[in-house]
Amino acid sequence: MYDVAIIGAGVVGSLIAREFSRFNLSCILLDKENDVACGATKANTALIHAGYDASYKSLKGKLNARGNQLYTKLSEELNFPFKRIGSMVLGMLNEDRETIERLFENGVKLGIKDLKIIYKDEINRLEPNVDGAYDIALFAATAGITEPWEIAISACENAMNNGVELRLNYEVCSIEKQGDQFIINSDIQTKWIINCAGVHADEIFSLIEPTQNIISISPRKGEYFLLDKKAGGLVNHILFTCPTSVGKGVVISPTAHGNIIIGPNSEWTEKDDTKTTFAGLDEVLMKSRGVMKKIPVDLNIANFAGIRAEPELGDFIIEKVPDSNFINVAGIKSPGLSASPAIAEYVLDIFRSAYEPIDKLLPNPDFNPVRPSRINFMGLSDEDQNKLIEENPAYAHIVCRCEQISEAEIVDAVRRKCGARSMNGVKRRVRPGAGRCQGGFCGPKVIEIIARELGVSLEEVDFEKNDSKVLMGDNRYEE
Amino acid sequence: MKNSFDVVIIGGGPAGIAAAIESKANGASTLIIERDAFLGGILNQCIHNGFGLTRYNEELTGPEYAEREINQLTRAEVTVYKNTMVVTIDAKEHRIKIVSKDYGVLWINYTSLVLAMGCRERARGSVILPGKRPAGVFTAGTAQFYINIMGQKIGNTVFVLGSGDIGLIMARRLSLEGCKVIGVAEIRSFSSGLNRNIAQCLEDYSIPLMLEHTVVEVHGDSRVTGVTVARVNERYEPIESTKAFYACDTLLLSVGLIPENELTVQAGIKLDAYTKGPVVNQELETEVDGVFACGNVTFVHDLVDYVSASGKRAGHAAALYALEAETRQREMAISVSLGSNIAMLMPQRIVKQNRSEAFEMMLRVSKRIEKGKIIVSNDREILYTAIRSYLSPGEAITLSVNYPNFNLPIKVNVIEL
Amino acid sequence: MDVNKICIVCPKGCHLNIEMNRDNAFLRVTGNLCIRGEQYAREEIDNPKRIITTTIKVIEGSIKRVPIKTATSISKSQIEDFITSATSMAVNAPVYMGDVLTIDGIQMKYICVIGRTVLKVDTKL
Repeated sequence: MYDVAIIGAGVVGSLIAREFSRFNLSCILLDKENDVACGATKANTALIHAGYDASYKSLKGKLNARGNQLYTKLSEELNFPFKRIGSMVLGMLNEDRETIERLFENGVKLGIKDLKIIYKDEINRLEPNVDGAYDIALFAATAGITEPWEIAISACENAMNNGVELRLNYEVCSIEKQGDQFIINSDIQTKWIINCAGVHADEIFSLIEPTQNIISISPRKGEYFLLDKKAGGLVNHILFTCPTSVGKGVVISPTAHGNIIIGPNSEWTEKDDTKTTFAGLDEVLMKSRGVMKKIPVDLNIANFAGIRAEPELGDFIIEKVPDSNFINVAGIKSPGLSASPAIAEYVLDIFRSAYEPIDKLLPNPDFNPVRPSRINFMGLSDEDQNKLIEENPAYAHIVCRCEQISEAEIVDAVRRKCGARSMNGVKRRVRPGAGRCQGGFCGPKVIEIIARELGVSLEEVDFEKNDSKVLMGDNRYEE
Repeated sequence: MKNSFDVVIIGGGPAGIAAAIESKANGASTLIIERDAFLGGILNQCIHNGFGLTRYNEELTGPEYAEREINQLTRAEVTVYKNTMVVTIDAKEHRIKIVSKDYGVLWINYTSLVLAMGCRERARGSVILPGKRPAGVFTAGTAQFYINIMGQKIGNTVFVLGSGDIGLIMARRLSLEGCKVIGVAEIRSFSSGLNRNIAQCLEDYSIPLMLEHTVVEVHGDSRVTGVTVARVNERYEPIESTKAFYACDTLLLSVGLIPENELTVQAGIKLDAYTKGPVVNQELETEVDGVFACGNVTFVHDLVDYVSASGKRAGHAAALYALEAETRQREMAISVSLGSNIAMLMPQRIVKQNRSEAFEMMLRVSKRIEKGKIIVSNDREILYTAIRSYLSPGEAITLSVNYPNFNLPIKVNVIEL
Repeated sequence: MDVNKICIVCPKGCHLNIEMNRDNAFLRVTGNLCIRGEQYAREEIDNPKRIITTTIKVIEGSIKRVPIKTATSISKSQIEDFITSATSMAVNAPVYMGDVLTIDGIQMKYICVIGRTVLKVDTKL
């Protein structure tokens, strides 16, 4: 019997779990995939928006502005990469002045700091590669870049260290109401349910309200290019363009690891359609060439697509269902990532306002907000490196040549709470497979390490999801 | 334990081994560093025949060639650090930082450094293959490692994209390992692999070669379930009406090799935009004094025999540099640039040498030329011409050019006749 | 009648044009740059043969597989038998490059050569 069950372990669900772990509640975090952050959290532009874009009247506008502020402390406590590199919305004076000024004013109304309008000379100084036609821009110093899955992973790890249970490979198929409890899959009893199931949030809500039409999710797909670190310096800030008559532009931005990300486009699609397409990628490329003529596509190392849960009415749906201990957190598309710490706060407030008996809701005396950082072996001094090697010789085995990651770091990524269970799980946590060789060199070694750590045979190691085995077994007879 | 050597070589594959043997033979204290537990590099997994015809006058398999070279290295008593990764080159201070299973983290000082890191494979991102990201997409070399070194089965039905030699060799290997290889698609109108490999890898196993075709989509969510293949036009664009689906659980990518120059760039050594390897002179010295490069890290060679020759040349120059460093004067280099129909060439610089007036050049043409004239010239005179037939990007051309004065920059052109 | 084949004896890969008589027996060949090409052409018509390389399992070795090759070329029709037999046997470490190994097929024995020295795991060098 749990106090709270959170459905969906993306960045929103994981941060909510962490917030709830500050109290003496028994919480369980559920996800249908074999790892956290497997939905939209894994495949987006990885930006923490300053927040001037969504209207100050909207919930998403308020939560983005607040969320952005919270990221400094959050990234320090959870030790995930976060850099405020600043963003620019590029425009042309004769067409976009009004839009830029409107965004600026909206930002001011939301209390966003360090916003300013800049013009041609400063644009060219800050971004020499950008097309000279852009002569006005909204510059926001508080915008930042991050590693979205690591936010979810670190939040989940911290939540687990503070008592939350994580259950993966658990798809919610039925929710029954029994008195003041819910029964999930005739299996888990819980008093409260928080629905953060991303593109499937409408389906989850339908399990208790079959005729519900509050949440209507239309999935939109966005495709991306990821360029080699050699492209670093192409842009110094996060670059947006003003929407034109043909639609929104694409983002060109540095990533937290020094790559360049370009995308996304936006097309209506099916919920699980994460396929990249020639048409989609061509559209992204064409739009990016509007920002600067020379896009080094030959430096592309990977393409991917992410699905956003677009709500019909356009704003976040974060509300408690009347007369029920069920809270929906749905339609969290952009600026979902940026808003997520504030969303977690907001959900906790909704919960506290409705929780009975309120005097029984006590703080968790053992709550520790800090999640220990991963050891970045190559970032240490020679002396510290040798000390680590003495304690653990696995540090002396550099497995990933491109990103210079040791075996010990990979082992740690598997062994920690909310640890990696697949090759891509390792990739997202500690980088092997994310570098320019895309796992060509390190892949076999990563499989061996995962197999050894999990006590399974090589052919049982997954690439990503369950049933995504890479190998098919020793192909000679067994003794 | 020594931490200072006349010559330090990064990479224990055929290039590095040849460099080490030669360096030691010239009297330089020599260290060779290898990240794997074994020397031999990529040769260890190339279990097929075809190596050593020029060097040993015999046809050997990759491991046999490697072992012969390694035995010579052992007899030469070169110092070998295995299970050791070089993580930093500090060219200014003439030292490298290693992370070693046996020695931990430490700096090794060198007088000469030889880069012999070889090359790596282009992955899916270089060819932009639409679809999700299922398991079952392998580059040919990684698949070769899983099969030949780890002894694992990687799939049941395979489609191969790319008809370079690695793709062809793996098509045969997979067939012998009990897989069904449906076909090999090649976007160009010709294969860059050797004719003999078309015969003994594809024809022998009735594997169709689909020229002017490419894979336009990978199907499958968790694991590959098939590929869509289409014919391409002369601009390499897929022709919509020719799309065909082939069910398979494995896609092998053989889409090119790139010299592995992470460390080179980190060391501040200039790369050539065409070869993707360091800019070198005819003695295989880079633009940084005392740093040399050989083998596939400079230019992807066609045969390992040429790689060994390259290693030997660099090892020799590195040893001489180390032993004569005090007295040596860096010569002014003239540049060699590429002209029409040339995709890449090396060396990109020539320095005056007392020992010989001729230098060796390697180049690749950018397209197939039935009959071509190769012209090496400077502003004043023509230094070399030759008429050659059946020039192809897949077969590097070696020339020996006589240049007694080493005074003016050189340009190389290939004219179609 | 004639048939075109690519010679596989060396990397040159000469385009051979092989003429056969009415009984489909070898008559003559053109296109070869050396006599080995002629020998190859003959065999290719009468009894095509190949050298086969593969790997076999090593027990207690520092690596799991040792590469082997047939000592001489074997008939194409025997390849399947050879592979089936080779992949169902194992050798014990240590094995040395150049060691001769006999593999028993259904109908015949195949003489093979070990292609790499594989010592016992954890052997101190």
